[in-house]
Amino acid sequence: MSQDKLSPIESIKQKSDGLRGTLSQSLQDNYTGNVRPDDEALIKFHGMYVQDDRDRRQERAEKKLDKLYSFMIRLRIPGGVITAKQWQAIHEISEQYGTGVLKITTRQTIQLHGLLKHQLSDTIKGFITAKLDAIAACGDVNRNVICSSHPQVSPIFEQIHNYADRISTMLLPKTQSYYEIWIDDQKVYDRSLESDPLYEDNYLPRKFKIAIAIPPTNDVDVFANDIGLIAIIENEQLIGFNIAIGGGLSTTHGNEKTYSRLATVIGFSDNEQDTMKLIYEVLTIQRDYGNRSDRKQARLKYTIDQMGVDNFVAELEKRAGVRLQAPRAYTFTERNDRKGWQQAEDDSWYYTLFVENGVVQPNQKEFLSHLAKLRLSDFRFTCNQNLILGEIATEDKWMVEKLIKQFTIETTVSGLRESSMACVAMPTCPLALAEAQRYLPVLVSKVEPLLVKHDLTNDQISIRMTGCPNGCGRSYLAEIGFVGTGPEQYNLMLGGDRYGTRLNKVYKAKLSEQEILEQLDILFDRYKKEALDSETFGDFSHRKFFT
Amino acid sequence: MQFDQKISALQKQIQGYSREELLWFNGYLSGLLANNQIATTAQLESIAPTIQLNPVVLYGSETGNSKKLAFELLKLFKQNNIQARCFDLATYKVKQLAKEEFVLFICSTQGEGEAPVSAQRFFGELEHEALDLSTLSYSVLGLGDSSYPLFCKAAEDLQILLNKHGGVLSIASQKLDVDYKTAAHQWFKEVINHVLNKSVTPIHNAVENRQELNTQPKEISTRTKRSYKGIIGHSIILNDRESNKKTYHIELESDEELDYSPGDAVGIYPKNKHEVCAEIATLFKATDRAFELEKLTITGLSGNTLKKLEDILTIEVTDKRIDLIDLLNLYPANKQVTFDQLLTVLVPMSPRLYSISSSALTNSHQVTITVALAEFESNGVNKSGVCSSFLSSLSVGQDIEFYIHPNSEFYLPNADTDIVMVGPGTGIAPFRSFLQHRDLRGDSGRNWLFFGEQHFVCDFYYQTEIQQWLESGVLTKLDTAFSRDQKYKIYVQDRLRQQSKQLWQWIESGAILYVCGQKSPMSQDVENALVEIIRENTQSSEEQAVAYLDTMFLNGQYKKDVY
Repeated sequence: MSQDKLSPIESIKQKSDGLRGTLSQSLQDNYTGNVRPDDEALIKFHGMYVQDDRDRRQERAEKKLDKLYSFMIRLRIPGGVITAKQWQAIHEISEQYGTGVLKITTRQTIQLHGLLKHQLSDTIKGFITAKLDAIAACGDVNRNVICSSHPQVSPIFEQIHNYADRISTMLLPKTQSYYEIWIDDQKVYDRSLESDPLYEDNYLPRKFKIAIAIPPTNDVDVFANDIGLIAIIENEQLIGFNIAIGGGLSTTHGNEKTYSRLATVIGFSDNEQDTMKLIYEVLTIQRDYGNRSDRKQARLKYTIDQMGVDNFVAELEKRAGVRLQAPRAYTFTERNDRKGWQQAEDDSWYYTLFVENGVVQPNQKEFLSHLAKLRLSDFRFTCNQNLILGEIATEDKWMVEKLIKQFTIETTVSGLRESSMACVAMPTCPLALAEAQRYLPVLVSKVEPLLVKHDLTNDQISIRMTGCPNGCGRSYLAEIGFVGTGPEQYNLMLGGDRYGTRLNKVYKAKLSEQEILEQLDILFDRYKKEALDSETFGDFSHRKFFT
Repeated sequence: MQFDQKISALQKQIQGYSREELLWFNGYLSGLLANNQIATTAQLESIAPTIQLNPVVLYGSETGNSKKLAFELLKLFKQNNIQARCFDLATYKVKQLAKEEFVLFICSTQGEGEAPVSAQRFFGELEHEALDLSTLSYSVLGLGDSSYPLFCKAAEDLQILLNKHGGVLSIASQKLDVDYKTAAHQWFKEVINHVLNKSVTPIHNAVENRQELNTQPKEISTRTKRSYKGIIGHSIILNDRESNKKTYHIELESDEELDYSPGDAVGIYPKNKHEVCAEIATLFKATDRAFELEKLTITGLSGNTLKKLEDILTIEVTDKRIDLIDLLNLYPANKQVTFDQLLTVLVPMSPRLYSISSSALTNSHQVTITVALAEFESNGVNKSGVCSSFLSSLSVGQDIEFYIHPNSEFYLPNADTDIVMVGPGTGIAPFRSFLQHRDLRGDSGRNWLFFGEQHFVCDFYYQTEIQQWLESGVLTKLDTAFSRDQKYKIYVQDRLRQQSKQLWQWIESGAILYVCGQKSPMSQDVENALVEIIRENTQSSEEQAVAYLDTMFLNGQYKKDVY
């Protein structure tokens, strides 16, 4: 481990007494809507971030009011599947607390914004009643485990989903503080249950993300994860996983040492026991070797590059006591969700609802609430921030169709809009430098006429926007990527492929909206004229500008 | 008395000393005393140095770190008996800088080298205003992240701008990285030393000053009502957008020195809405004389005036209380009446009193009031209180006449006496004045505030100031009751009950209990809670407890300013 001085977060974690810190006292502080400074770091491990409405700071300061602090809570939903009953619970909680807006995240879960400090306990109790929790949904631990979400594409979905669940459970922190702080306020005196051989007392140096992809779909952006598992299927049977490690997109403007990195495929594992061991030990190596002094060098990707992939793999095989086999062949040929009705192998029906940037619209919310009460389907979140109503029996399909009509859920959107993605950004995300979720739909509306002009309306060019270089909106894996650099200013990123296997690069820096539209007009024109047969826009720009 | 403790401490200290050693010390102490070489307690209290500099801490904060450091520094100043003030750059007026002597800036840098959003207005004005800062000395503590290329750029810019206006850097500025705590404390130390070094300790002066400060407004009752001409210096609604209420913080400024004490009130002569005056005057064919109605009572008419109006207009009014304009519209006159005749039956409006919410120690040319806009419905029409709507309609710079109304029943006790303040809603006004005053005077008495309103998020009046007082220790305890933030309603009286034991300890040790705000139902509910608390803690009957509270009131230990 690095000999440099530990980052301040490290000592907060170590002193936290199982992530308790002074959170219970913070909840009692009646003079502020925030928690105490150290607790701001710890509350992430309980699935929450403190945010404040940045649009309102100046006005409130003049009113002698403190910042408008509120909390975002993100659920832990491995594989992104919940029951109708659970959706109903989430719906009701969101009506009672916070802004009322439900946001489907790029990591297959739901988050609620705008919860006030005094509402947190009741919110979490409501979730617990519905068997939902937010443990480790943020923080320096393994986050929500995601997996491909299209059962109609592959019958092994169920098996894969179980993997996601088991991995998530295996990597949960052992501390019971979540229940102590938020649920019953009863002190846990027997701490032997809390001994944590994986996270010990300092957890990981940084966040950790795991995804499982089922080829040919790369809806999870498997290479953007610290660990990516690629399911290998022969004769419709799961025979094991290719394991990829060290993916991560986030960078920092002006910090040359930071970079996006795709995960490296290091081999193949053919049985569950080995796979689980390998995953576990990747985390222990990261725990032991990761950089704990500079958080901008702390992700697994830097640890791996520091050690060298070969050394890392050698250490991994030693710790796990497993020899990795040579990786198996696979191909990704799609990343978008398949919209509308689809029938799976077992004859059940799936309906995929387009949710722009994951922000569930009022009519959609009402529709979903009605549907949930009828208990006709389960609810599945996709990594493209859409929602699938799953396992609908053929005889029930008409009822769902009727509701779809009643709430005018069916809409036609351009291929570009369908392939768009944005993070939350302004006004709540403390990291945001520019707008994303509020702005991308507007920008897309302005790009659409250009598509019409160049006859590209049905082209599913992926377009993604992220308000800062941390890349929650996974812009680095888009054919047209935008990374916010300042108010109303973005880097235009080109050359990524359509399926998330090649990173894009900065094409032009710090563009205004006007400049973006001018550039895209020129680019679409050239693409239309100069593209090779069936060459995607991403491949075209890669060939033209970066080779 | 602490004397017993001191004796026992001394006995412990000299245990095992030989007789010779004790005799030697005996002589040594006598010598010191004889030559005045040792400061006795009485002197120690007064020896506190006269601080020459009154530092101002200004912070620009994005994530809250700068603010936190500013408060820490403020606390350190307090501990060193240095009177300092602290402001957010978001609300600080650049022009004010020219009047300061010593300013400590704590400011972070965002994104690509910018100042925090809340401070950007300040930066802009500092760049463009013509200012003479040649009497200002300052230092800057910059916070930043060295992994960004423009590390602490905002702090650097600030220093350049201050120098441009002639400001003098008196302590080296610091640029701190994400791990800022240790270095910040080092800078704090330098700052404190700098201020202390600029201070002198003339014992005699200090004693006089102190006595003067300790003087209680005993002569308060002899002070007479004095009128001032002033302007509206500032006016803002304290409630945030989603609130059901509109409570104004209004600063009245005057060129004259304003003579008032915490607890006093401001008297305001309201004016009627011009449109209403015009409407009435027009009915009497005297549109151009509408202004003559401005200061007369034309709303909520009852009793005598109503009777006289009935007489001259020869009408019969069934309402017990009615506005003149409604009366004229609802009950058409049976007899022609001239405007002059109307004027003869109308009486001038009496002034309205508002508890002062500032201390003259902060700014002797300014007095602030905290005014809830009274809005209500009468016969299906939305109406608002005459004076509160008059005040809320005034804009910055407009003239206003007012007077100070001394309150001989509601004032601060001795500096070392504890106080408990119960002030929900606009009842907080005098307590803001109390806290400002005690803060600036450096009173040692403890202060406990009970505040309540509807919602934490949008109705927490003076929240950032209260936070600052908590941080610096001026406010010892705070209890809040936001009635509509949970399923069942919680009011200040409920918080009083919850704190029964501790509250009783404070009362028993002599704390003065103040209640300000609505008479009904608040002050009655609070009083009922107090009776219960007394019963509970003295195991007495209700009558006994009521008698106890009465005695507290008569002794001046329980004071009310309710309306």
